[in-house]
Amino acid sequence: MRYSPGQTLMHRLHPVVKLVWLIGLSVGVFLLSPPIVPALMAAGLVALLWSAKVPPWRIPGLRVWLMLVVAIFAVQVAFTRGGEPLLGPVTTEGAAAGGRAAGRLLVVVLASTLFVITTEPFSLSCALMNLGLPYRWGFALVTALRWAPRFRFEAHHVYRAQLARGVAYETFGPRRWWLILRHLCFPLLVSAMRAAHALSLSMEGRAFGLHRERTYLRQVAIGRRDIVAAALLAALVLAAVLLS
Amino acid sequence: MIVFDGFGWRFGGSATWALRHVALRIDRGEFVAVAGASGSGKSTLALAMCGLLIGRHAGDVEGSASVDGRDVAATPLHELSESIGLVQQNPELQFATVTVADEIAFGLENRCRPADEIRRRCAETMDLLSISHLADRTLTTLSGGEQQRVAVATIVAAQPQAIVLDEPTASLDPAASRDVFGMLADLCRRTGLTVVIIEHKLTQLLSHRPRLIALSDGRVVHDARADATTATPSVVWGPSKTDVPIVRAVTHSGQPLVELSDVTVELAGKPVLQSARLTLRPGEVTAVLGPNGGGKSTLLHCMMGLVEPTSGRISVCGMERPSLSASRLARDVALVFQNADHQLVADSVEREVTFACRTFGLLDASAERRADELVRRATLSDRTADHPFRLSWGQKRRLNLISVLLHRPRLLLLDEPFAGQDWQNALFVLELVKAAVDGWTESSVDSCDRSGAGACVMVTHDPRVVARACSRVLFVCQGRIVLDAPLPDAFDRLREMGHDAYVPDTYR
Repeated sequence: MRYSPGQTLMHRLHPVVKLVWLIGLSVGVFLLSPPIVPALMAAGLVALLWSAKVPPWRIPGLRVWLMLVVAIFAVQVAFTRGGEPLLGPVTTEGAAAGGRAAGRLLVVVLASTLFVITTEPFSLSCALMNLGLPYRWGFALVTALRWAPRFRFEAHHVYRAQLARGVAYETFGPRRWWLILRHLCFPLLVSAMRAAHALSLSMEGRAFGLHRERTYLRQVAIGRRDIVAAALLAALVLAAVLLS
Repeated sequence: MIVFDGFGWRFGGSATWALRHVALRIDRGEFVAVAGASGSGKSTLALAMCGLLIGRHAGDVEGSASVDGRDVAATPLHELSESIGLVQQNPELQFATVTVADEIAFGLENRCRPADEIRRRCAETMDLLSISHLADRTLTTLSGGEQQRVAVATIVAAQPQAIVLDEPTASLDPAASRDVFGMLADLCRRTGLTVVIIEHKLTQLLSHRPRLIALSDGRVVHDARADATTATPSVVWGPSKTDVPIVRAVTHSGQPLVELSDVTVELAGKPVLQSARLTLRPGEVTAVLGPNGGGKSTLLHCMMGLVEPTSGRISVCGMERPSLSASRLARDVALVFQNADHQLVADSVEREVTFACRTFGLLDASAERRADELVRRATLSDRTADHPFRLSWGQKRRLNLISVLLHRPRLLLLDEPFAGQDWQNALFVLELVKAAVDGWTESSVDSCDRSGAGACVMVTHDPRVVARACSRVLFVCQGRIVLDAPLPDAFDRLREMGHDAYVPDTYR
């Protein structure tokens, strides 16, 4: 799952507003008990994903997540007792608990997917730094987000290079993991340290850390739609508090 | 502008001086090339002049070095960086942001310049380096040459007096290298910026008539204006060098070592190799040329069983899919990757050299004797107990090669074996290629062809090596083998196709 460039409403929403929504939904789905809550949230998120050009059948990793959702539902149904019997050992209490747990997972997954797909990582860091996050932290976040795919690629390359040396990675089971631990980790660590050294030289050579503050070419502005989105969340939180 | 006065530097724990008695004066607006063998002190000199040596590494210093009148030892880095900036070898590792415009603005933002000024200076810099059209591009999507231009722009935007580049073309193809050197010469001419380039590949650079400074064992041994017709000092792999061994073994008529028919490879739905057809027979030394990202490495990886083709048939040393797996092929086929660190698997040089023989159960007294001999030829005899990661880059490259050759594979696949290498290392590689192709004196691997002769396929950007050491050229571009011809006909064809940069001067 990664950022997919686009110009939809969700793409244009301020990254921090989206982050606050993500946190709000994730916390809300756990605090609010009515079973209708996760269902409504999931339906809304699917619609928003669709509006961001991600129809339900193209949600990354959907099959795996659905399997997990079904598994959690099944476990809750099997082990929760109470309420009226529904079908065999299944009780109303079990079905409700299963529905809640499955719904919560689904909401967190859909909300995170929507956030990641529509938010450019550097834009998120810039927005956080514009709003006062110390820039050293902001760039630590940028570096981590940039390097994750780089090291995946590097690990793949080292793996191939060592296969070519005759390291029998093609075996299965614990032996394969032992070989990976033994041969793959050290070159990757060295590579990471080399990359960190090159980056620190380059950043310091361009006056990174010279002043407490820095200026920004890229300003992530808060627009009218961001205020509306934030107000909507605030209203929902208020309504939830009043109703409960 | 840059003054070294009796300058010397010895890294902590080292008995020898990395730089000694260096007396240099580089004036404003000079275009300078610094050359020398691996370990001659070139990169140390670059670090010293950019303020990244004294105080940042443990060591002893003698004499003095100054930039723009400021003593490099006493000036804080951010202050010195107003006068001089360093572009390291791999631009991708130096980038701190995500897009071209953000990256060029980075240094100015750190210096708290107002947004309007940053915008104006970014636009001027991009215009100067002809990269305005790249402004909104993501850095990882740029070609190697474009990344180098952006790396230069990140320094130039701060308007320093001098820029130092450490092997800027080490991983670029000849066309991109020519473009980068042209851009730097132009920058020097138009802006009066002092440009210092640390470089092994001098052929293309010399046509811009740089001041050529050559180092050997940490001392300046040559300092004069140069051009393509000037005889190059012996410490440098220059265009006049003629001691590259001529490998070109006779092509044997035996069973082919490699047969590719209509092989297509797709990655993420995009074709990276299309309908490749190739037959390699024992005795052939084949050069694979072409622009970066054209599919050269994928071609080698196919022959090693590392990449699964989408369609087509591959046969290597008598093995075909599905039995074609890399770890089984490794007995008959040796692939040396471009990054020296990636293939190191053991915890000592000695165990690294014998790793494959131990894996395949081929380690006997004879193999151990050969290991000693190879280690001696690679001048690593005094490092056998050391961890491979403690070696220098050049030493690791030699170790990579001997550790895949000890068990005497028949097919040698080399991915840019000469990138960032001096001529001594390159000669070492070619000597071993010759031994492999001629057939080892006592063949321990007998699964391909009884003649014992091997074959070599090397991806390289050095036309002089191709001219003297190869018998056949493949030109791979946009995933297709667009040329497959013997030498020297291949050079005529490349010229006709407009790929002059891949043809050595002597053939132009």
